[in-house]
Amino acid sequence: MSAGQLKAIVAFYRYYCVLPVLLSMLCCYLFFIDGSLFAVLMIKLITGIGVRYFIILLQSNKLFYYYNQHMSRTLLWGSYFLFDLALLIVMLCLISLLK
Amino acid sequence: MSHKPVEIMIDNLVAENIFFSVMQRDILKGVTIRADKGKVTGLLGRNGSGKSTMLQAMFGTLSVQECNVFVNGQMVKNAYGKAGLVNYLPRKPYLPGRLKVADALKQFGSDVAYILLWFPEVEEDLEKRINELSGGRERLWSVLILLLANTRFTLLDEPFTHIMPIHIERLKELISIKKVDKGIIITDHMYRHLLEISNSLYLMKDGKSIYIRDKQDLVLHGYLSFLESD
Repeated sequence: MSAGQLKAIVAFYRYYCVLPVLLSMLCCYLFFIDGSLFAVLMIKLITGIGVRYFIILLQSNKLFYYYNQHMSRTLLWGSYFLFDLALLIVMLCLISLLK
Repeated sequence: MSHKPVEIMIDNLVAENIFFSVMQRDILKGVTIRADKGKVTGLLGRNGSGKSTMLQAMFGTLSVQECNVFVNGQMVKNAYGKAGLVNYLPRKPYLPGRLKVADALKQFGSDVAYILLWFPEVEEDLEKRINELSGGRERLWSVLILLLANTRFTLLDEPFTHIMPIHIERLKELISIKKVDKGIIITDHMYRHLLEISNSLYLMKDGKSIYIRDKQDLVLHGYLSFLESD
């Protein structure tokens, strides 16, 4: 992966991070009151698929910015979900410390 | 002593047997299209005739029933994922709205000085965000970024739309220069421009491509209703 592609992946997450971050915060809240990690991860997985569907539905033309930098769909979405998951894990760790 | 004829392989990108149907309607019925280095291939057709579908199938971002893409005879899958091979200008704006023009140029490695040599008046846009540009300027930057990018082939879907005539003329000159380095396919409804810059021109009709020699052919195949004088 080139430096340019890495920069594009970060930009991609930044452009579409609002909804996933809000959902992660909701997941953290549920984890705080319920404590079930499995349920939280399932909610995150299902909502993550929903977010991807809406980005493709509403912003499909914008994805060509990334495709034109020779980024495959696997690389683009894989990195996006990896970023999102890493952020959720960090947030869950912080919640665990607070508990 | 016998001499074997020397075969010179011109860099080419070919999409063969493109079949695409949606809701039991056949859009493309086994069409083949190619881009050759040093040439501009023009593509005309009525709305819904499958021009964009064909380019996206060639680019690899659209799943179609059948499409085989070859680069110099070697089959490739997902052409867009191969570094330096091909780029594609979609019909709708593709640059992120919050991105600055200068950052977009940097991301694609564009030669800003070269662009300003051709379009000096667009210097004022460099520090603007994409969503602050007019429709025409946004389109011009979108085309320039891809046309000047370091790829072997460029597929342009309606590059002249929204762009003012004086910029279209310069863009046509630039395309004629850039075709020396790369193979270019252009689709647009501005047929006069395509007739002018294309080395070969095709008309999409009934899911097939028809070779077009001149304006009269466009009338003959029903793309134009009458022959306009220049």
